[in-house]
Amino acid sequence: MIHVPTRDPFTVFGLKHSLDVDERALEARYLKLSRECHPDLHSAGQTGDCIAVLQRAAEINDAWRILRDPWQRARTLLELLSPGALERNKKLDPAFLAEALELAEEVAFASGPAAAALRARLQEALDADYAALRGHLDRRDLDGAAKRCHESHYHKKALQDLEAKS
Amino acid sequence: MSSTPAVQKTARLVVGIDLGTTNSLAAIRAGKGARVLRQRDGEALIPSVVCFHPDGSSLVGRPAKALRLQHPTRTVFSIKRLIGRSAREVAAEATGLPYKVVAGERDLPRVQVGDRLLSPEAISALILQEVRATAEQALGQPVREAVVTVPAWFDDAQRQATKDAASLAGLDCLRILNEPTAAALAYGIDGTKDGTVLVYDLGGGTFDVSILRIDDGVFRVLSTAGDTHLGGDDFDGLLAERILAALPPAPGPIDPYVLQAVRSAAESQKIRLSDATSADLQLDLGARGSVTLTVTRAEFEAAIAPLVQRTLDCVTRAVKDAGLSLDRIDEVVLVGGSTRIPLVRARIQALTGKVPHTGVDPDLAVALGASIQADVLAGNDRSLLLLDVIPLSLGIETLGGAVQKLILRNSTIPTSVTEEFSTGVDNQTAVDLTIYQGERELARDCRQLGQFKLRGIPPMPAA
Repeated sequence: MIHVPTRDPFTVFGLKHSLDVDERALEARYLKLSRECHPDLHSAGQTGDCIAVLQRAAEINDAWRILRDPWQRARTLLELLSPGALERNKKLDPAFLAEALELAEEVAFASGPAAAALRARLQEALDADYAALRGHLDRRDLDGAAKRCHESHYHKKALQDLEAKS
Repeated sequence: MSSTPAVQKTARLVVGIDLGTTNSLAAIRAGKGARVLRQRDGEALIPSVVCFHPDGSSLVGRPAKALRLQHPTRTVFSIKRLIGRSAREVAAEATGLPYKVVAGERDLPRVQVGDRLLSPEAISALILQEVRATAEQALGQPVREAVVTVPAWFDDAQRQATKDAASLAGLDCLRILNEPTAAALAYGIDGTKDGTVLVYDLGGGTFDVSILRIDDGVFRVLSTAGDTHLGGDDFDGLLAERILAALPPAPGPIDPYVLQAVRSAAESQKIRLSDATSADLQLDLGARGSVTLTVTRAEFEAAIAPLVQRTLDCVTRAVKDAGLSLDRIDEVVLVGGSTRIPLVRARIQALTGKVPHTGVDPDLAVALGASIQADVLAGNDRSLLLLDVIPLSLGIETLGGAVQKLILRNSTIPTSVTEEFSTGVDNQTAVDLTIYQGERELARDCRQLGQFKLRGIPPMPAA
């Protein structure tokens, strides 16, 4: 099996390492890259590089999946700027964890208008998480960014659980 | 290699084949569009019916369908509902069939005709052979390569079984293509349909819905959902139950002849109910009695409403999985014969708020689309590209019989994934991996695709 070193998603798309991407341009770029490199358009060729084409196409699909999602984009950028930052900053503030526990309980018992209000609150919390994450990344406070990333998971999980109830 | 064969400059001939539950057909790319390969009399649809005649011959298509009542236990239809599944999975449904289905080795279903045991693959191969012969006669040249379609919701075992059927029919299957995706290709091939399309495909035995985005020749599947056990056959079944209930009671199991006759009658009554508001039925079964029954469209609709609702639930899920809302759908395309039922049309229109597109023939769209992708794979057309997804998640079994999903459903393919796992015991040098497909949490509820042993792990203390 030929091993092609995996490149980071930003490099695959020819982008600089930045949280800000133009989503329309990103999509256009994805379609262009796919057209240039897809196994279906090479299957009839006499080329021996079928595996390379396949791996490159997978790389393009995987990069697209990450880059189009602002959260995955942020995580990937963080790991590029400081490899292992997420693993190193798993320990969260006990006060935050206590709050998260309360939130989970609130989700478990929420119904009717209370659920709607809770949904709005969680969405706000996630927006605040993302803004803070962006701030940490801009200031290159990468440990702070990693912590905020982990914290946001509790809000995402709570929102998911709330959606699953309805 | 020392010598390379000369590169062929002539266009490669690859046909598209729709191997349907009820009917099958082939098509070929022609000019800017595609055309169906018809039988000598101009008929395109080949009934997916095989009759194993007592004289030893086997008949396929219309001649076989015509023998349904004469040889009820030897005439096999809807074999697509059995292919690639286990005997246990199809047992409940098999009891309602006039032909006999038994469990063969490894719990695979076998159709028993006289003392012969036939696999669903072998029966499907006979249908494919007939499609191939029709294509060869229409084209005036041999056909060896094909793209064959399957419901998007088919799992890997069902896809592999379909591929095996193609091989048995002497066809090299270049690709198994999802039916709704094929239909979208047929719809969008003229190059004027950029936008977001919902394909609602309700056939004889299966239901699929796919959401696609078309951008300047790139057809991108965003999500797909479906039910491999929901289609026109089930509507026939509901009508058949009414007919059977109206027959004078008789002891013992239902005679295969009665089953075939009642099914045929139910199907024709269903078809008439698409145009008329009520349909009469007079069925004379000789010694078994006779029945006169009127079914109104309202009664029929009330009976099938729960099944139609199940399709709508799939639509809602597919839209959600695509990360969209219903108002972002630009066009609704209906495929499959069962979309002729007025209730189906009305419900999908009510849900989406869109009048369904009627520019593609619901019976032909899948084969036409398959021929377009066939032309791409043959290397003849580089102007369009299809980006499809996997319909069901793939994962491996972890401790305690749980499945850890590695590649999630609706991931665009090809794709790759990296995940770290720890060894369980000190100095472990190999690990058995079992691959599963499905959305359920436990391995026993998912489809096992295969197993392999990963060796050569450097001995180290377990994590």
